[in-house]
Amino acid sequence: MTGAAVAPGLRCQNVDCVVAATGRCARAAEFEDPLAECPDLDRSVEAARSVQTPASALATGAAAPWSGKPLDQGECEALLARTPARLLAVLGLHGAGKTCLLTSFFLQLADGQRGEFPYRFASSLTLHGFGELAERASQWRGQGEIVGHTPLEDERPGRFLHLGFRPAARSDERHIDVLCNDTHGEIINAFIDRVDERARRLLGFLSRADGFLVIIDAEALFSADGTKQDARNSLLVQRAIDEAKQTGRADIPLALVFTKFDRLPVDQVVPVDRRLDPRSWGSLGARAPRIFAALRRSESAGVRADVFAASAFPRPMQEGQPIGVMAPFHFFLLHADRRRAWSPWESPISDTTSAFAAMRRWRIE
Amino acid sequence: MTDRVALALLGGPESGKTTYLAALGDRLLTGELPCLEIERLGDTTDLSRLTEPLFEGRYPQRTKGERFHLQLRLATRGNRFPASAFDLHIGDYDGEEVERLFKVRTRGWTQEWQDRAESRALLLFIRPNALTDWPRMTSAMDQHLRAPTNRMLHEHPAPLTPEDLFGARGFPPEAPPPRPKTTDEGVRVPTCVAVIELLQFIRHVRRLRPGVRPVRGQFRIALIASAWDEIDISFAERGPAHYFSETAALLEDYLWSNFYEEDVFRFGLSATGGDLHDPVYRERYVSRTGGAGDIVWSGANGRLRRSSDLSVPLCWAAFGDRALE
Repeated sequence: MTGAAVAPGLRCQNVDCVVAATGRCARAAEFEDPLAECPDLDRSVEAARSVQTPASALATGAAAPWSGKPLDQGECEALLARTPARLLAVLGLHGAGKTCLLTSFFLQLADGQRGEFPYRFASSLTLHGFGELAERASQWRGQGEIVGHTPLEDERPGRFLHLGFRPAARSDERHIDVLCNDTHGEIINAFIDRVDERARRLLGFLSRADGFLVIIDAEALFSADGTKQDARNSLLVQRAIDEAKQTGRADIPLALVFTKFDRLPVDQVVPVDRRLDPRSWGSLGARAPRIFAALRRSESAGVRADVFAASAFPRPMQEGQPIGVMAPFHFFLLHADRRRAWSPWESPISDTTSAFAAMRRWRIE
Repeated sequence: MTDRVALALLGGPESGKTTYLAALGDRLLTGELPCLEIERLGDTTDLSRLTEPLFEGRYPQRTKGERFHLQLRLATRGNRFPASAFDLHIGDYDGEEVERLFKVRTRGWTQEWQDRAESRALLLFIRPNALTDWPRMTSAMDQHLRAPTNRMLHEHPAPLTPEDLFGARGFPPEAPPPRPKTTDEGVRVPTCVAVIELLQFIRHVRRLRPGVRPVRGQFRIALIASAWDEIDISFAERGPAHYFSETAALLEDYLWSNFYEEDVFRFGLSATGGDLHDPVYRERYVSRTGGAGDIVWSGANGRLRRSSDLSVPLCWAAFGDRALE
């Protein structure tokens, strides 16, 4: 049974479940006889008499200007076509923590913990999507999935989250759109194995990417199949470098992020200039020789790589702050928003028109 | 009268719009506001429904099963401001509509909302209790927070402030940056996303692209923290600018990015001066002779300023910083 209209004389108390376009009850399929069984229907006489109710009043009006949900490929392409948006390709195996990192990044912005990140939040076309992720993360109590896995949509490249930034420098008046893909890990897994027609279709946005964020589950590197994880992730890094090379742009940034860092038996601060050296990372570096070897290819490929450690949700978000979440995004925008430094515009002062020059001539004469 | 300015009151559910309007309505009826008066008294049913509970020391309640849109036609009085007329718009179910519009995008963007988007200014009501999900302030942190304020207010009083020299704000002060949190402090769930989305929609209606600031003075935002008398003591001492900076950082960033600094101002509002649920205060409120309630804001030097004139946010929305002098 589908799409029964709410009968006149009955008032649906759940304004959210009426499909606006058709006026049909969205819960109809749940019941054998919706008009008799649906608990949302108020069957009292008063309800039937009540014509102007808050719910019915709220149900009117046009659709909002945009859905606020993650953008699909078409919407993403449209934005890229009309603005110089920066596209950040987020890659990682299933369960590496891609969505968690994006969620935590948004939460840090929302909580005023930008730190040295030199941009301020200016807009978002996917605020509803971020809101949902934040809501789910807030309900996590330390066990189970934090924000849930990104749904694997049939032969679609997934979805894109959008943030608009304004440089914190007062003199900079730009608005910078940033798009981040939130792609199911299975698609990335298949991409590691082969770049076939399907991968090209589902990850076609990689050729347009302004930077890459490769997310690696650091805890998994210490597990029983850590070597396999190292190998798979090294292939992913190489794929990302290949894609970066194909963009044809110089110095495209690639941030490699070891997530779930708080769960590792290591606790060391790596100097900025030694982050590409596996020895600086101690036992983590020893567990990831292939990943670091793949990274060494980045320089010859014209890719600007750096390595970061982060923990998006080291504990329930009510109990503490994330670790190192802003740094990879800062690195990305530092390069993706890089502009050529022009020399200052200096207009020569004409000797013939300058009053000062005239005065000088008069004095000399 | 030269100009008719539309102002709109917006905010989430239970954000204090109705109580403010009731208290304001009462002051208008008694002629206590120095700069504003009712220009033309239309149908007073809704206004009476709002103000009458206050006479008995009760908060105005919405009528179940009814939705109304109230429009007050106001005008300036006296010679402090140029002669102007206002239309003040508020809908009784605006709060729920904001939340619902955020959750259910397929409907709810009514013509009424779109018309309201063209207002000269928006008074955005935010109730502090709705934002403080996890008040994790330790006593040590309280000390840390209060120290600079105490120094600023008491130990080093500036004999001559920019405010004295250049007027109420002088040069526009930036909202203070949010305080960096310690690793053990919780991450706050963003609570203003629905309001930000509404502002994005409103800017969309006004054809303002993201990041483009509207012409100065043509679109002002007054952020109003209602129930200011219930605010945490650390914020009460430091003022509404600090309060919004720390509890609504995303909204502050959004406003900084999309509006000129002088077109955004932050107020703390206590429409009734205390909690009417408290029987002792209610008794005092009912037996008072003058108006209760006040408005708090920060001057250019960070010094808190206070006024019992509840129309200050409205006057600021219409005339800008000169209303703060």
